[in-house]
Amino acid sequence: MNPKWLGLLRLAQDAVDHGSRAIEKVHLQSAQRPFFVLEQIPAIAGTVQLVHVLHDALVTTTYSAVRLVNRSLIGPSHDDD
Amino acid sequence: MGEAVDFALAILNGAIGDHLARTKNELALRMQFVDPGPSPSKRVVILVHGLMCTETSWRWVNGSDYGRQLEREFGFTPYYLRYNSGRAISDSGNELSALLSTLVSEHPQIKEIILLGFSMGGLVIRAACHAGRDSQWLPLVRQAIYVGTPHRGAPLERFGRLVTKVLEAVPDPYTKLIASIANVRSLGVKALGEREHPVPLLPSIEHFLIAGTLSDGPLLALLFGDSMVSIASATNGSVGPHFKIISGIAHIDLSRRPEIYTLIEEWLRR
Repeated sequence: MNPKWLGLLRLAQDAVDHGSRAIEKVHLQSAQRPFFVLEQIPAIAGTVQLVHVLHDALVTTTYSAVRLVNRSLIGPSHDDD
Repeated sequence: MGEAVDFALAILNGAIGDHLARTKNELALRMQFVDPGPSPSKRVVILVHGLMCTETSWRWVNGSDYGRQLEREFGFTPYYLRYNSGRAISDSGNELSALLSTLVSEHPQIKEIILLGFSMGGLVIRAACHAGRDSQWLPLVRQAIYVGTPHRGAPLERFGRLVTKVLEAVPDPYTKLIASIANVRSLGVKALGEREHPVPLLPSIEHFLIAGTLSDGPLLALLFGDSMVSIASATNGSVGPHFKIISGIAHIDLSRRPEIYTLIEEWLRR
């Protein structure tokens, strides 16, 4: 492959990687607010905490999967060093 | 087509070139002299372009440029540098110093070097002179010419820093995301926000500084300079015969105007 095209692909790979991390952070921080409010209500606090943990795990797994697929397309980026 | 790709790469390198270099991306520009002749004369001029530019930024409408004019009238062989302008200026300076060491060792007939930098290129020259303190090439440098060089930073980058800081201070994840996107600027760009260059102008070299202004009016000229670099920054806050201010020329045009060459020529002939 032409080195410039390969460089462009690697740059797109880096953009997806960095972008997914940034959006994941926003996703988790945004969800924190309603969970925090609901966790203040004693009657549902336990259930909400469980849902919160599950939600965060699901979000992290989903974004990690996106990054894994992204890396597998053209191999690991030097950014991973 | 080739020039368009080169230009696109120069812009990309200026914007995120430090990332490209760090990740060893194939799009990262390698520092090099573009199409150097087989054998230089004993006098050479090194032309160092600015941020997000290539050597074509020197080209006048009629196809000539400062390098060709200096060759024709003074016998200087021009060497046009191309480099990744997004890297830290000190890194580019170190690399330029090494490149000049190679040049003078391969061509021992070189007895005199003039350094000519446009915008960020002038800062790279300063960094190279600092890096080359014990080199073989630095004693050959008699003069350095800086055209629109932000010796004391550029207000636009300082404004960018301020905006980023304000956005980062807002306790909202979306605003912080915007701040992190705004912060994706190369080290080269960020260096333009510094109010002082980390190394002084070497006293062993004659320095000639040229500043442009958009307007003839003294107040507007003082406020806006050449639209990117203020007069105080381009002249390094100095007074004396070793700097000139030329009005009616915007920053980007300072690298390719015959009027600027006339100033350079007059200074070299004085």
